[in-house]
Amino acid sequence: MIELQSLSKWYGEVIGLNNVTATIGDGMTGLVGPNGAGKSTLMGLATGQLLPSMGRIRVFGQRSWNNPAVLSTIGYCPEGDPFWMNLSGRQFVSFLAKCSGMSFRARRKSVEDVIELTGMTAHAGRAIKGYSKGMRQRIKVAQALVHGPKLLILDEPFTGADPVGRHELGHLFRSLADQGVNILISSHVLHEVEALTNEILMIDHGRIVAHGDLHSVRRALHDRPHAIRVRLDEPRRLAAPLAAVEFVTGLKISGSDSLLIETPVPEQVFEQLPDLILREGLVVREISAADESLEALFGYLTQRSA
Amino acid sequence: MGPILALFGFTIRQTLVTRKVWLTILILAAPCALLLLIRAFEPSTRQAQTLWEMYHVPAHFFLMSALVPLVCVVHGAALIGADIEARTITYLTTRRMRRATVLIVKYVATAVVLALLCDVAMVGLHFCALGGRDLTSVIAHSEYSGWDPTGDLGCYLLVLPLAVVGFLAIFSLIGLVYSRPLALSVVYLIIVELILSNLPLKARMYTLSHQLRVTLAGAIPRLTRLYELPADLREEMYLPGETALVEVLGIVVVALALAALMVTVRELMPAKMSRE
Repeated sequence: MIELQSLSKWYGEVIGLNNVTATIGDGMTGLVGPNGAGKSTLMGLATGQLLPSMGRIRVFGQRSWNNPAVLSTIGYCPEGDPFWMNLSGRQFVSFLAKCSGMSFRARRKSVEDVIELTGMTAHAGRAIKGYSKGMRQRIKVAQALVHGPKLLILDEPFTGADPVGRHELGHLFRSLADQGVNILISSHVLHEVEALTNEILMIDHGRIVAHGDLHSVRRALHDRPHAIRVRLDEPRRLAAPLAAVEFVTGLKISGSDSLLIETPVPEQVFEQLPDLILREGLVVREISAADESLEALFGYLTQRSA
Repeated sequence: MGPILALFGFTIRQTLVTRKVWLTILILAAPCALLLLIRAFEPSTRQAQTLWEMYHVPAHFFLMSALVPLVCVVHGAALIGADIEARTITYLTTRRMRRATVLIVKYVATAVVLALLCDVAMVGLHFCALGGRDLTSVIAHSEYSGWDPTGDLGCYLLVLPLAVVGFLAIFSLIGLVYSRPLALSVVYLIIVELILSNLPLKARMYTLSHQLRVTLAGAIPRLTRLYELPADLREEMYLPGETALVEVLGIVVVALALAALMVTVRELMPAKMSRE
């Protein structure tokens, strides 16, 4: 879907992207990284807003820069508040639908459909300048969807949305992905992306630090022990027998109800844990892989690439 | 054609609803205000020459040579710049239009609005200068007996849009060249179009003001007598009998081609945004 080949982008002495080679496949991919990592640069290059300093980028096999054929297959939801503030939400979406070359009948139906999909029907007649942050995000998503793109590029679409809005937008993106729309979604809030997709492209300081399925990326980090969190009332009673287990490389008790187990082979520990818990007669409230989360993974990877 | 027509209509609408349009109207109405002021103090001028100058000095030197370029500075510098600043250019350049098309369509739409406003201002100026006067008796036995103000108005109504088209193209180009387009446009306007174009140098041939002056004087030959200039200098300044329509359109084509090239090969994003 998107091919990056030795792609670099710099702004004077500041590096936006640094010699990146990757292929972003079909489906939904989360583009994650801290602020300034190069996410918007990558999206700018994919949508033909920016020119590569070196290397090349292809979307559906073609250059996107000044290429209406490719651009008409992309729906782009930019970051921030780029609006003609005097327009109403409906006028905004309708104008951009016209700019996509949609016929009058197709446009009329599509505009109302996407306004409804994004939950903006009640507010579509109002001027954008009176919109809340969350409404602005929704109307930006609506304009990105209105021409029925094959690829949606969403730059921080959850920023400013309230929890209900985040949930609804997340639900919308998942259902679009289920319908076959390819999505590249960026966020610096990792759990937002984690809740949507396991396919991630993680970047930091303009470099790709991980790419692929979230769990396989984690498995590939052999040199980093996995962490398992057990929530129970008497963590010290479980820590004692665990210290004798061969594969356990570290134990950390935090607070009065949490035990963190470090191990390079979590499968073995998961196998032995129930026996130990039963033997000690403990009541366990939760066992979870503490570092399978995107947040933890990002911490490891950026530490390694630094 | 759909996206082009949509952007054309949208640009016209946006040009008419922004605050800039009020500034434009204010600038273009200045000659009318001046003429009304003069008429308030001098209500019954009986000299043909005074009337003739009251008409052509504001129209030629004030409206066409100073105010129209000024209005084009205001609109040309922001033609694409306003959308870059507001980052709304992102939407236009990710739709089914080439980047150069976006520029040209916005240029044409803005030029249409400005040309209409300038022509309305000229009609206003015509009536403020001559309305309600018994012109026939004043000019009948003077050296201005052949003066046809309606014909002159027609010439201005054709040349003013030409001035808009030319100046807007130049200032749109400047708007893309430099990050502070307004300052550079004003400097260009003063040095090139107001000073250089009036100097007895060959270089003035390359100024739009000179070419417009030649075109206007070709249509209204008596205009060359607006100021008491030596005959040889007058001929140099006005090139009587000639029209510079081709030169003006040439300037427009070159400026627009360069501007189109610039938007095609250059990124149109504020640096702070593109760096995330």
